[in-house]
Amino acid sequence: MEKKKYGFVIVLDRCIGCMACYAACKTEWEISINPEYWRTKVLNIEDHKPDGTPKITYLPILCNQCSNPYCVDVCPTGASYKREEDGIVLVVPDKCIGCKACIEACPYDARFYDEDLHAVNKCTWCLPRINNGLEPACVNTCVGEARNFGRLDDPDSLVSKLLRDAKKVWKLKENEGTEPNVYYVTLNE
Amino acid sequence: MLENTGSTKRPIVDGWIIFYFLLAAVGLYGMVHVFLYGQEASYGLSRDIEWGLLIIGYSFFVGITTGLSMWSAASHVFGFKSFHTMSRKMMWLALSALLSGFFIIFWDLGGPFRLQILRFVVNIVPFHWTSPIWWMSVLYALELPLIVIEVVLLLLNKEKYTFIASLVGFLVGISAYSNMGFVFSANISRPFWHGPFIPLFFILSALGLGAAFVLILLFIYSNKMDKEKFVFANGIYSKTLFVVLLAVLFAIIWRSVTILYGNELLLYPAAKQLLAGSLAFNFWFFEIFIGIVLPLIILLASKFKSPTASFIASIMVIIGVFFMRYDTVIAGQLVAVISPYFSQAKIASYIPSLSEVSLFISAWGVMGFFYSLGVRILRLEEVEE
Repeated sequence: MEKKKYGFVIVLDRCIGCMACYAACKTEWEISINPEYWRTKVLNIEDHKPDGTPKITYLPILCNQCSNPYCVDVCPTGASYKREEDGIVLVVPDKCIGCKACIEACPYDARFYDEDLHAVNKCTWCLPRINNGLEPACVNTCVGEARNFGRLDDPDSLVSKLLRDAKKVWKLKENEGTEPNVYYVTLNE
Repeated sequence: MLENTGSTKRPIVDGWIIFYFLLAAVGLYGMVHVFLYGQEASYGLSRDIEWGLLIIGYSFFVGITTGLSMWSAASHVFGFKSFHTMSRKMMWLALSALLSGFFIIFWDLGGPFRLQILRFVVNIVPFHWTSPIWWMSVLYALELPLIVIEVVLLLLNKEKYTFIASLVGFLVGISAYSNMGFVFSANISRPFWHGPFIPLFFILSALGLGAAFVLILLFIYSNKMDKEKFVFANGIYSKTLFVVLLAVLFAIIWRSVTILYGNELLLYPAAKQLLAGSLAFNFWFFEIFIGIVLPLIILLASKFKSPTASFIASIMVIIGVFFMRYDTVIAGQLVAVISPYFSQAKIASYIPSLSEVSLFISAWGVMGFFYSLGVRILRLEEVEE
């Protein structure tokens, strides 16, 4: 049983696709410049409105720290594990054999094989920062306050309030049984 | 392919040994490349396609092991005497293929420069029951000594113990290979793989692979065998290969129709890539035409009596099964998992790098080298019981 229930709430109508979160994350974690190496990024989704005019939606993606993480189940060495105290999924590089089964298992494209690390790398919601009372780097840098982090088990937290106030709330690939902990919301109609 | 040598009087090092050694040495290109530039720069993998030719090669070579073990076990365990032929050579070839599979997966996991595979060895306990790769590794770690024991027992003509070893080997072998299929099919994030099809298909096509290699062995050693026995064995394995190919074709047809009929997100675009996209030539030419249709015609036209026809058909089947593995593994990864967020599927691409190709060729050399060494050093000629 998790002692703390952390969650991410992404206010989709606030994201302007500036990619500052991507840059902050890469800097914070000293991730290689390789464009395939990222722990979080923003997808540009091009579509059309009902009247035919083009529209673009910015979709920030990151590890969902799933409550039922398949990436942990498939790991043959226990390198991938879920912390009991807060539910965050971590990788122990010294245990990772590089079989990439967790990468294949993740429905969210949240993992990548890091040649520099000789192991799989992924978003940890900036665990060292949150342990020190700071926000994750991507939240800290988000210009539009689209990214929000906090405790879902605290009704007074910002994330709980956002979930209460939202007009629409959803999670990615909810029907895959992963029980993700990143919520996407819109505050406007 | 494998050479014609039944005599133990031949020198250990001859043209074939040197040929396979040189074939194995082709891999030096990939090895040096990995050493100098690392895996990322050496292999044609990407964030979307993380399992490439080396994984495909692994699944192919250990498939040879499983196929040969199953046909060998068919005679020893189930008493199908019709299949009882050249067990020693079959099992030695199965062992050589297994070592070749281990060789190629070793390079996929970083090779000797990182020895990441040791991280598995030291972390095998506590058991990770939920991990298909944990099971696969443990089962193959068991299969290696089991096949060695089987070979030794066959060499010593201990039929009773061979029965027991074959039975255990059969159970472990079929578990290991179907479990390898499960490594793919367990992934709910990859709908093209997910489900019971791949473990069943791996076993089915391994039967074809095994029968094809037995027919090649029969062709090579035909002049060393009793003619009546040879004609009988060639006929039985040719008919078996024919039936297995029909079953494979049946499975492929219904699998493809089911996927196309469903038009599911992630699944349909993958099948489309296979049938009419970047993998279409592989699928239609190598898998269907070379791997199934042509061998079926050749076997039927020869009325299962021509060793040369069966030999040619077998080589085609081996090529076909390799492409079945290739297409299955790659098609499963071509559609990016983030595709549902977009209005159109995001399609990735994969071309094996020269390093991967060189290591794959090298694995053939490793298999041929070990096999050839065995037929020179060990007494692999069958003796009358």
